[in-house]
Amino acid sequence: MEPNNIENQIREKLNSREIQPSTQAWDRLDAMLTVAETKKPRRNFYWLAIAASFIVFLTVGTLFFNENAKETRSIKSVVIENKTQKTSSEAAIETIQKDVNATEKVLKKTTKALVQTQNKGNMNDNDNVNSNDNDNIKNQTAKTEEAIAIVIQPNDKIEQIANQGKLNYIDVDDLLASVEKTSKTEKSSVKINSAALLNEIDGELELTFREKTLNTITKKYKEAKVAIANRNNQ
Amino acid sequence: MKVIILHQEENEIIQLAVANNRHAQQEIYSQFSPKMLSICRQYIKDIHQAEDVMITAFMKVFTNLKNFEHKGSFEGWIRKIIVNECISFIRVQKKVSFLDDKYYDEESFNYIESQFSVEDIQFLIDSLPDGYKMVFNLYAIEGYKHQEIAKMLGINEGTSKSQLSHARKMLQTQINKLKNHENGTE
Repeated sequence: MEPNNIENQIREKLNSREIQPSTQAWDRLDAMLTVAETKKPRRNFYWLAIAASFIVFLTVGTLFFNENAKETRSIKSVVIENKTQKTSSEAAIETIQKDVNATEKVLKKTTKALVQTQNKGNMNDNDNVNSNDNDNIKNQTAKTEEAIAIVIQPNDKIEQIANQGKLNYIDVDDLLASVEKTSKTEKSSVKINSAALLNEIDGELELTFREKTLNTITKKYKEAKVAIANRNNQ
Repeated sequence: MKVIILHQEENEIIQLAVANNRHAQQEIYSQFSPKMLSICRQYIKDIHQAEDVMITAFMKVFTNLKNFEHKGSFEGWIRKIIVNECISFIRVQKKVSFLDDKYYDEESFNYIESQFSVEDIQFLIDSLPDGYKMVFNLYAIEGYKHQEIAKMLGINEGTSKSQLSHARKMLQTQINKLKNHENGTE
């Protein structure tokens, strides 16, 4: 393919052309440059602020992360313990529920008997009141009341065990709450301890440095003393 | 020796300009702006718009001057920035869309002996639509390959070739018109 003559001509002539810009052109460029230069120094402060806040967030985040790790460990152990307790209480509740069912049946019988006696009592009231029948009715009511009392007792037991079970069930939440409380207190206590520790360490460091300097000073003093004392000796 | 001295002077001026020495910056501007404005004019018909683009491009030259690695010519480095600015101006301001046309032929121009003035040549270039003009300028004047042009304009290599082919055909007709006009047949 031959080189395009016309294209070569176009290229050469256009490349050698120069067009003088207007006088305002440099003034505009000058203004743009000054604007760009004045903006630059401000930017450095912006980056410093971002860097500083980032470092603060990092340190705070690491502190929280370490404390959260401790909490999760304690909560996991509590959950495992509660699970074992639940199974034993569940077994107890099952046996009690059987007793409850039995006592419920007894209850029904006694209520029926009570109703029958009441009906009898009503019927007797209409006729001549028979003291013996009343006594019988009273005895029967007393017996039913005793039966009901006996029936109620296992129910109380059930309630007690259910409460225990509930306690077992509630324990997780209570424990969590208690853990949170204790953790809060722990947090506060930890904070105090860490700060106190830091102060102690700082104090220790300072003391050791002081001690070191004091020791060196005393050593040098003693050495100087000895040297002066022995100056005449050879 | 003169070339080496000039190069040293150029490096010194560049270093001063990087340090925001306004005098050095003006020196660079005065030296290269006429040629760069000529390049902008190739792409943009309105001289005021061309000047705006040139100033924006020079702003980028000075902000990126610290990144100049002193490999190759300083003028060539400036020229690239100017050409890229012209392309982005046309693509954004004039919203050029390229038809994905795969038609192109490998035939070259007819051998043309006649000489044209710079004004005629600019007139010919101005007659091209923006898409053809950009591809023609990048290929025929800047010397980029179709692969490079495709990247710069965000088009396929095939599209670049077809755009060039269309540009050449159009120029051919325009040249014929010019010649007929000059010969006084119209």
